[in-house]
Amino acid sequence: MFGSNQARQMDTYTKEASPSQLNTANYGNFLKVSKDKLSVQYVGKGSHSNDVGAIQADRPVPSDVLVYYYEVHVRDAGERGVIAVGFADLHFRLSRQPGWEPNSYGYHADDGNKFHNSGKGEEYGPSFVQGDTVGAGIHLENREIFFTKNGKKLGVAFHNVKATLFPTVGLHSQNEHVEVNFGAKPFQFDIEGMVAEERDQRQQEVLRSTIPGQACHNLVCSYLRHYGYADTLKAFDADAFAQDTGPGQQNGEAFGLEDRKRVRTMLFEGDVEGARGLLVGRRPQLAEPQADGPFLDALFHLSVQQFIELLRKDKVAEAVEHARSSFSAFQGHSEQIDRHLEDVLALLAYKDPFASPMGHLMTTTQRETVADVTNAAMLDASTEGSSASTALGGSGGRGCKSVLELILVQLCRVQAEIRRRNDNKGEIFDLDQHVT
Amino acid sequence: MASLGKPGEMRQGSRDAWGHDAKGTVEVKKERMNRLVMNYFVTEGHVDAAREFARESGTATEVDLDTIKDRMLIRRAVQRGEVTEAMDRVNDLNPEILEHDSRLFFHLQQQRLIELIRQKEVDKALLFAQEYLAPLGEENPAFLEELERTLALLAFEDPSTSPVKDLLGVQRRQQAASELNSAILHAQCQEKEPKLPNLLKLLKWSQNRLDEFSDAPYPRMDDFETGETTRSSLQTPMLE
Repeated sequence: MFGSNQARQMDTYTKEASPSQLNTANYGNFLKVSKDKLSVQYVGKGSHSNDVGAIQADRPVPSDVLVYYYEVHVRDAGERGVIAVGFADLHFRLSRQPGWEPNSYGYHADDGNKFHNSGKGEEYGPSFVQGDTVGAGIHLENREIFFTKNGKKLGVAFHNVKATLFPTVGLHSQNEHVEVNFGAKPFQFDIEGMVAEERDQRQQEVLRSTIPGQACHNLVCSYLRHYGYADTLKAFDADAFAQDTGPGQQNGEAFGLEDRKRVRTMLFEGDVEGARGLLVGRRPQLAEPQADGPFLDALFHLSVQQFIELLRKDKVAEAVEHARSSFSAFQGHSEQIDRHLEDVLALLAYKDPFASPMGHLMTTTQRETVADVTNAAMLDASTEGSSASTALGGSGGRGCKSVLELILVQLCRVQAEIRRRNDNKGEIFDLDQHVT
Repeated sequence: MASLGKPGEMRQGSRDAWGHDAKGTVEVKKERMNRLVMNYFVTEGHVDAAREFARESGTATEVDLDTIKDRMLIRRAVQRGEVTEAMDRVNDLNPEILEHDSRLFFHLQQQRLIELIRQKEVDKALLFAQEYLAPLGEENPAFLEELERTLALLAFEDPSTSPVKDLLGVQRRQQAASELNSAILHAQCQEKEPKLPNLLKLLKWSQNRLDEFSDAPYPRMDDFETGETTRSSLQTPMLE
């Protein structure tokens, strides 16, 4: 509600960084890593099972993607071609092949088998040799690991993968030499195509869900009624031949739809005095700002908005006079109010408040915000003491949220809960993508 | 193996407020909701409502409203009960729309039948049903069933109190109008799916997915008209 810059910054979520190169701070014996930290060569003899040289990526697989994927190109299969490609966790022993240890998963070149927590593999795919490119991927929402060879998917290798894993490669015979691609270069496998297909499949599933035929229509009606968009509601009703128009002034409502619409229109046109006049006309006690109650927020915002509107008209002296006479009544009520007052008064410091860092306060959006706060207070007042708020067509009560808002909040929460129950892995739901 | 859990071994009944996202808050901006509503008006072809809403809420209309005029006129024709006029208009616009969508075509013909019955044109209604609808019903058992249900209207003295009275309701016209509107949208490739129904379906799908994940309780929302959640009295302390 308080249109400060801080609230805005909360919105931008930074995605987790992906692996970008090999971890050269800590890697297995007998390995030589190239300067660009993207190729590695085995320079030992590789005669014992503990002579494996394994190396991991600099970062773990990010937790906030649908699918993570990387590729390894075999430049030289060396003496015996015993290369392993896969994933392993932070505690992985770098003298072992990925797949031999707990929390490690590997696809091995010599036999094409898959390995997990065992020295014995299971049949999986073809073997791979010099010139081949193999890829390893994790589907974070399905908790699956899959591999590819030369651009072709080999099917799901492991299910129920939960640990936080790093891309991991193991080499074990002389002259083996591989080049790792973390996505800086194009992949052989069409990973984007796979992700697009996944999304499409999911969308088809979603579309197969059924909702009541009138759900959207009724939702829009109740939204318009809630926020007092009376003219839109009238036009919509006329167009859609809805039976349920609902009278403007409902029984027991202190402020009917018509009142709320007028207040909104006046605020939208910058007529703060008019809006306040209507409120006080209905409820004389509102002439004095109370210490508490649903109208405190609204009266505060109206008072501030009046200050802003005076500035808009370049009546600086009047604005200052208004601030002096009425802002003190609100000071100290809450930290939020005090901070907002500071922001607002800062407008005085600029020759052109519109272009100032507080310029957002001068916009129509801010008028809309004030109208919303006032509308909410009027709704609250209308449902005071009346338990049957649903009789108002879902326009009142319930923390003064419109049904549409309740639904969208529910959607965000359910999505977040799904991710939380998936060990916080998988894409983070972004409502904006579905709205814009 | 230590950190690998068994399936179904999921965290249950956390004391934190449920469903908080990575940002720690769940907040829906008014501006987004306004855009959803505007998108609904534009995709459904409610030009006047879109115009009023732009004025009242300051929300941009997304597209030139004149370009959706055709859809508005077609919608209004269906809603007035003038289905033939609507179908003529659609065919002027793009004859392939009705040719390629047998379901839509059937529903519109069915709506014509309903309108004839509404006007008490019994003879015409029967002729129309036999000539145009019965052949469609032969191709598809679901159509036949709907046809039979529609003709049941004729069996009642006062169809508006009969078990099939829903066919005569305003909602029936609206549904036909919406179905036709969305077919035109698809053909014009102007707009994607309307976003609001998609979001409702996504919520339904997501709740089912969450149910599959574990049986830990959460306030489930099944009533999209009131936004009430089940178990809400039990769960209220968990919400902030």
